[in-house]
Amino acid sequence: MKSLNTVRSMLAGPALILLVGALVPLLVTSGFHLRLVSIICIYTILCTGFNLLYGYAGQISMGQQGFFALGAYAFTLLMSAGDWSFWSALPAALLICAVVALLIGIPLLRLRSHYLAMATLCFGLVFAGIASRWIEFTGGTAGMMVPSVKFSGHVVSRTELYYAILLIMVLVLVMQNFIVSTHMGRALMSLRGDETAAQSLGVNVTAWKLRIFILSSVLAGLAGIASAVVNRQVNPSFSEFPILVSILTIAVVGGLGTRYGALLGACVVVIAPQGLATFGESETIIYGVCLLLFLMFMPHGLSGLIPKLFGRIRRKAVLPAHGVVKAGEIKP
Amino acid sequence: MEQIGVILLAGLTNGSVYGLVGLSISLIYGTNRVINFAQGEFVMLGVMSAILFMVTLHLPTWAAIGAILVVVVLAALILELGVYQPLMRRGAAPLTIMIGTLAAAIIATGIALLIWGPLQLAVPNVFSLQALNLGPLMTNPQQLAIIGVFAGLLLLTWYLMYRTSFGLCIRATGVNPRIASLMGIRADRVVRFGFVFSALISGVVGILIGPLLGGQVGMGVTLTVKGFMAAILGGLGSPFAAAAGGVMIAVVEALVAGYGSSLYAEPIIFSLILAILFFRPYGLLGDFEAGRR
Amino acid sequence: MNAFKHPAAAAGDVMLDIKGATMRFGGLVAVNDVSLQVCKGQVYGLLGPNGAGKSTLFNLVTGVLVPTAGRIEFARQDVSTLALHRRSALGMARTFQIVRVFHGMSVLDNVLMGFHHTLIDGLLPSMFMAGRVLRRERQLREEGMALLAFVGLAERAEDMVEHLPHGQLRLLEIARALASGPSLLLLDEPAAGLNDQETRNLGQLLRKLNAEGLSIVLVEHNIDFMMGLCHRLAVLDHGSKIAEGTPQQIQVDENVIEAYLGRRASHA
Repeated sequence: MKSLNTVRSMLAGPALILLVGALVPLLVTSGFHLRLVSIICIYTILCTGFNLLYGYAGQISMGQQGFFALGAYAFTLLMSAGDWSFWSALPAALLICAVVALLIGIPLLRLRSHYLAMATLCFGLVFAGIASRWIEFTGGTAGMMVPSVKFSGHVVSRTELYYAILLIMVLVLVMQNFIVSTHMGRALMSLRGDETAAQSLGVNVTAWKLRIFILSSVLAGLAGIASAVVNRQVNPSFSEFPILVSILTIAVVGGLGTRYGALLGACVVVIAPQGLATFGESETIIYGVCLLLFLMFMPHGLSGLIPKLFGRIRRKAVLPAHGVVKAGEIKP
Repeated sequence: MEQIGVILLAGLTNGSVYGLVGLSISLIYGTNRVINFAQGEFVMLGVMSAILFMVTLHLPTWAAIGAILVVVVLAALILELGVYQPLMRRGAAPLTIMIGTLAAAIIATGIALLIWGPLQLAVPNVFSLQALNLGPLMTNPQQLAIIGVFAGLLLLTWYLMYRTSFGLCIRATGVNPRIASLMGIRADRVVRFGFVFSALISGVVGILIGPLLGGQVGMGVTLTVKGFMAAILGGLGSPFAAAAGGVMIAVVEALVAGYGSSLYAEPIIFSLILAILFFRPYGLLGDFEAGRR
Repeated sequence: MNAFKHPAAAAGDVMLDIKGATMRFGGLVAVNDVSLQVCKGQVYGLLGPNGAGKSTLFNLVTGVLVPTAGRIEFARQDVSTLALHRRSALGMARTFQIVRVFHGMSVLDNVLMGFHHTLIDGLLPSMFMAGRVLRRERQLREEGMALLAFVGLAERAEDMVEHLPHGQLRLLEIARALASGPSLLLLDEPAAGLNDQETRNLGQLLRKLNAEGLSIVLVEHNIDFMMGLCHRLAVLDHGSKIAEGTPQQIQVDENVIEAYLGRRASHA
């Protein structure tokens, strides 16, 4: 039954990831390594949003890091300066991201391609600029400390935090899979393909662009909050260029428009520099070269490689000998 | 009165830099629809090579300038042959090639890091930095040279684009690459010209602006972003609109810094550009991009 | 095929009522005060030499353009300024002069796009009603496969659209348009680029659809195709309607002959 297949395909991957992820703290001894895996989850959440927005819907946003920072700062300010509880600050910060995304999305999504890239980039830069300058409110370039998360007096341990983030990431992946395997995913891809045709079929293009922009911004904000909690601090670097470069690298390495590209890319982008650190001063060059090699030789990222590895044939190998419709095939 | 003169002069100086980087980006875009994210790196190479040739190797000024230009042209060719061509052959989309130029920028920064280290270095000046009084304004020959060279390069670009038959080819490619190649225009020559000419301009910018900005291997990114903004502001259709856009950005930046808050000048500028794009989705002058759609 | 043999029997409710539609692009008048009516169950054809304004009129009816003057009524509702994405819900479906399929998606997924306006609109509502969405997905795939079988593309269902030859892409567009459950199907040069056999098959397909009650408006250059298929025809030239009637009437209409063949031919 196809619907069972759909449900299975939606949940199987995330379930497996949850299982493997749950074992990680048992295999990993140092707190530093656990933190790395948490960061992988965080980047996966961030890039899942980017993937939906750009990989599926074709809207290039170079400002996701702005929402990453916005979520982190809003959460931190509400909790420390505003003295809100965790359970109020979290949804409130996400709501702030959604509202800001709505406000700038409405005028912004009329833009196309390079102009959209520039406008979203400006957003990210404006946020970084304000965050690093408004010392009284945001702590300036030093940023702010994030109070540790407590539940009824008990401080959340690093392992518990990791499990929470892992769970959130898995839920985000399930949500992504749900969107992508139903009419929503098709609607998004139609935005990338042909807007006029999409509209003539009833897709409210403006509304859908806005919806996916808001969703991916909220996901970026969620990732930002997680990052702030894990790092126990938030600072303007959350909205700066290196994060954008990481997002783009993850997209390229993992594969755009795929379900698990974000996770695969995040694994590479977070773990590889640890290995590169041994190269010391050449680290930057090697990063750039690897990115370039991925662009050239694996344009569909690691996700494009996996079907080849498992030999799955996604398309029928042979085209029919003729393309003409036989009269007899027209059935009542 | 004096203050506005100082501000405008500062604006014009920075505007020359942003304008030329913007012109370069717009020019390359016109040839192949790709935004060259490594454009600022060409300026950086110009700046750092000046240190290498004039200070470290003690070459005479004119030889050093020649060497610097050779370096940036080589870099442009490496970019074109190592990044642009391979990606084009694989049928990559323009935005993918843009990420490729970003990768190239990272590599260039990495190489520069190995050669010159991470610290800010003093850059030797070609023209004198002696204070010069121009009426009520205080300036120096280097600064005037920047503005003068800006005007000169604009003129040169104008001459090339509008008074030579090759320039006609470039403009035709800018309007519609596919039809241009159907008409017999060699796209590869146009593209190569775009990269090399833009690199030369950026190298010259680097030689001139180095002493005023200082040399640091990470300086390329800001210039690329500002140049990209200038190109977008003017509208991606015309390199001259990009140059004008660059001057506009710098002048507004200087005005905000002078009369308003110099601290928030950058965020204000970025917000303004964002606001402009809200109302003019194709830049201030970018009507022909809109017409294409 | 009674509807085809007896044009009078096809007369019924007016499905599409174009009243004085005019489209000006600056100084150029592309469509000049064109009025016509399409009745339920009819196959209505638009003919005319190149540049006559057929596609522009088409775009006015389907909502891609807003008329400079005049009204367009669909099922007695004024749709002149109705947003493009609301039309399929009303029962209007169209194909395009140059095939517009969604690249990067399979043939079946393209057809499934046609069902979009019948489905839950929005990310949050869909997530809250996930069960219903998933159940509907299964039904959709079956319905989509049935439509593909109807046009003869069932075996290509999982192929990427980039792999389909032009003739099959046209059929795909029709299947996709049918998925939206239209009462009026608007086809913009559906036979363009098809060979003779494909054109004949297309004609059969359209006749079959019409026999099941679907009203069709058709823009085409292939005159034989139109004459054999349409109940009524309108001929446009330089933006104005110069003739209207049954195929037999159109064939002998002097204005039509003049428009297509030139003044001398009409006096021949």
